[in-house]
Amino acid sequence: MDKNYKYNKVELGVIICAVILIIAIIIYNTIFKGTVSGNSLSKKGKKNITSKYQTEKLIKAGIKKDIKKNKENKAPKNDSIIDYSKMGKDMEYASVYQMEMTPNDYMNKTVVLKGNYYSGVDSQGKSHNYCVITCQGGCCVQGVEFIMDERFKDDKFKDNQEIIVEGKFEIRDGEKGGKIIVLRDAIIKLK
Amino acid sequence: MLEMIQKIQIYMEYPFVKNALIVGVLIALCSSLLGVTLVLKRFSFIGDGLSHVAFGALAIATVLKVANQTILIMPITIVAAIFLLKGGQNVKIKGDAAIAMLSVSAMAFGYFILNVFSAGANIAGDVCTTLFGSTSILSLLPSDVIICIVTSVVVVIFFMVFYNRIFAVTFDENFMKATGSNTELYNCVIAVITAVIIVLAMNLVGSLLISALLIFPALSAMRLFKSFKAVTIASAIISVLGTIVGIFTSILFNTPVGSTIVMVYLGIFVVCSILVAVLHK
Repeated sequence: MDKNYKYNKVELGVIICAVILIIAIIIYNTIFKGTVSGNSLSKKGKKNITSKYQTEKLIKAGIKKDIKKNKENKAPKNDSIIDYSKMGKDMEYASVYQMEMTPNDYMNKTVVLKGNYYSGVDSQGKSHNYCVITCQGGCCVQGVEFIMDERFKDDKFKDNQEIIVEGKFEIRDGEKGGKIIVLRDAIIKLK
Repeated sequence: MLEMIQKIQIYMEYPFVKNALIVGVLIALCSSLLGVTLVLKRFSFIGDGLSHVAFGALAIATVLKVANQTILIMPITIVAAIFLLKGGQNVKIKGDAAIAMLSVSAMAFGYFILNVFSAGANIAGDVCTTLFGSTSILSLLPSDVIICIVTSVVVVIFFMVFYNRIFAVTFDENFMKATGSNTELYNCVIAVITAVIIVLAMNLVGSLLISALLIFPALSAMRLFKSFKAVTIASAIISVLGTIVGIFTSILFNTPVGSTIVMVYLGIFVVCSILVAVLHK
């Protein structure tokens, strides 16, 4: 038998664990702690993110939210805006999926979504508006209902029209007893 | 570059991105460890066959509206893995033919029942997600993450404890048999572990691209190194790094996660090949 057959398995295990540890440390240092000086978004730095410049950078990067109070990695605290409209389609889809899985984390927060407008009528003949978010491939679909602000009530949109919706996140009872997430007092921007 | 890092930092605030990274790294590690053995034993195609079986099983789980689909998919795929292993020894149906037969049958069966019996309206979404991963890695449930962590730990421990036996059964099965070892049992366990990894990897790259996770890191490592130990370690490093780069690239550039990871693997393989060609000149 080849001498490799006698190879020490403990050594192999230690090497693999060490590689994992090294990778984990690198990721932690570069991503979570941040190695970029000056404008780093390290955990320490997050406590002081209040300047307009830093906020603008967050908006530019795609998300404006209250990082200072968001250490638990849940949705931002009250009075903050969660802007998913600048994300890529897959990320926006995944974020909306999370929103539907843990709706309580988003209650009364302002959410901005980019998607396609669709209207629908329920069994009682009441009309509903939806912002439909798809993944990049277009195969996975999530619909978020919105109730338009009074100022936009007379506006008409075509189905499949690209829109950006900004509204306050709430949960309402569905027709069949389930809960439905809805953006109330929604402001619509055409893309 | 600075903007990209900041963007990643912001995206890392989201729990689903962290989950994707954890699950991705663990799946990549497990698949690379076993990938070396599968490639050396000429079992590269078994991953493809089993992934199609897993697709069929997922279709059944979808139709039956099983809450945690992994619980149903896992045993079906394991049974198929054992069947394929035994089928390979059957003189009436040769190994590769058995894999091809089971593979296409399971795929056809899965798509058939999804179309005929599926209660969901979005069949295209189900098929797309299952075959190519789509956004499934970004929409993992906490239970999926826990199952993945536990299974990955079991796979790594198995690999470490039975490393010598795996090495022996990979290179010289006849000698191992002559020494009185139960090679059939070890082959069976390897097939079972492969099935488990494939079920886990469906979340990451989808069932059509799973083979890439198994073979690319091993092939790239084999270009650079010659010993089993070095190839195994290099394969694990390449696999994990490729997955991390792939996930971040897909997040930053809005590309599909599964195919991006496979493209990164392909890139690493090409670089390794060029490197070896240049060094051996």
